[in-house]
Amino acid sequence: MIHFDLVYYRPDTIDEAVAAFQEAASRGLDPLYLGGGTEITTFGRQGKIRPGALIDLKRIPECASFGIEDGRLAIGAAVPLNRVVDDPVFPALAEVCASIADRTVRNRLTVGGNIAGRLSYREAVLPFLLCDAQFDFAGPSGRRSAGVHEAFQGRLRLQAGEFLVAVRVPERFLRLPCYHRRRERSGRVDYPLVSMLLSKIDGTIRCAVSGFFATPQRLEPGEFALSDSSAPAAERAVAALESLSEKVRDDFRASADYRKHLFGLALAEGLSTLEG
Amino acid sequence: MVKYEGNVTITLLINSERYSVVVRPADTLLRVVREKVGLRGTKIGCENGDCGACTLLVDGVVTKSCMVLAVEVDGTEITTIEGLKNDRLKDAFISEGGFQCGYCTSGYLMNAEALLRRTPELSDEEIRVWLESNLCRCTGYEGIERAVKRAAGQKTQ
Repeated sequence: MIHFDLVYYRPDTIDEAVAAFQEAASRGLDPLYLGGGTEITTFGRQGKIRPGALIDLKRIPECASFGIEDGRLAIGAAVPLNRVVDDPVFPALAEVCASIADRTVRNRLTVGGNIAGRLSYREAVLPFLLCDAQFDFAGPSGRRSAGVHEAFQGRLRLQAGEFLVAVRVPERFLRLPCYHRRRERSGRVDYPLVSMLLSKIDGTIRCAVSGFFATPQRLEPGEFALSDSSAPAAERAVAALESLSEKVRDDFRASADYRKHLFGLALAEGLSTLEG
Repeated sequence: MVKYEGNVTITLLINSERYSVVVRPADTLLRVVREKVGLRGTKIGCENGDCGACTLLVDGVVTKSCMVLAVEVDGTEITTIEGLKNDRLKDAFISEGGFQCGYCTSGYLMNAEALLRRTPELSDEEIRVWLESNLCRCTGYEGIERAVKRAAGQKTQ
């Protein structure tokens, strides 16, 4: 049961959503945009958040779109994860999303909600980090687009009152060879100790991970080492890790050393898969 | 644009019957179905999206009702365990011992109903992935899996 009261808005357009947010903010209601609501309902019940207003994005056509537009796959922020799993036009995204939460929750959990949420794993962003995706935002200052590396730096870089409308992926990236490996502590329906996505793009290995650092990251500084196919996979994993300044996550779920061990195993298997 | 503030009246079509109920926008579908409509077969478990005891169908889509606000589904068609007409599925749970204390059973039945509606040809992996959405604290998982297979017309040995 959620013990506090709130105002619920269900806009039909982007402009209505922005106006609703501004109206609620002007009343001091501390509004949030609502996607699937899986995090907002549970965190609200637990008292971790207390929004006075929710603006539901699910009925906005641009947020619910899923299809090819002008040579790019447009994935609306309010598209449920199971939509991309069951219609795998972007197999890397489908595979990553199929490992998040459980099958029933994925009917509600949205792509945008997973990326913009408070839980630090945000695994749905991994394929976007590898394939130069474009993020479309809307807010009081209008609409803007940004490349993934500007739009997402561990978390979504939103301006005040903004929301994610859609993510666009160039068609050439949709069918790239990919390898995904996810390791958990206590069964598949759990947060990842390491969720690694590898791809080979234009002869270079690209790698992004969730659960391994505090937030999801692409291992860009280490990709040069990963792409050196003359070296054994284990050496490449060590070299890639040494090139990174980010601290490996060390918590009650797993030590940093264990995560590094899992990282090395996944990397060796992934490189072998991608390089044949 | 729809805006709900304070106590509002919404309409829910539950098991083919129309209910007008007064809710707060913060009320979850789970609480409204049980406490406002009076259908207690949908169970309160973790209210955290983990256990699946509160599972029902919203426009045919299997949903954990603790994670949905009632105002979000205003005007949709909801099926709860009281409206489940699949006797073959229910009989399979009885034949295969698909429950022990029974608290999780309505959630499992609604999940299995959605799975069987989706496709009659089920792989073991598909069944496993779908059933991972629910928890049985009596740990009667094997009986539940057998029941779903039996309902799908598969051999259970």
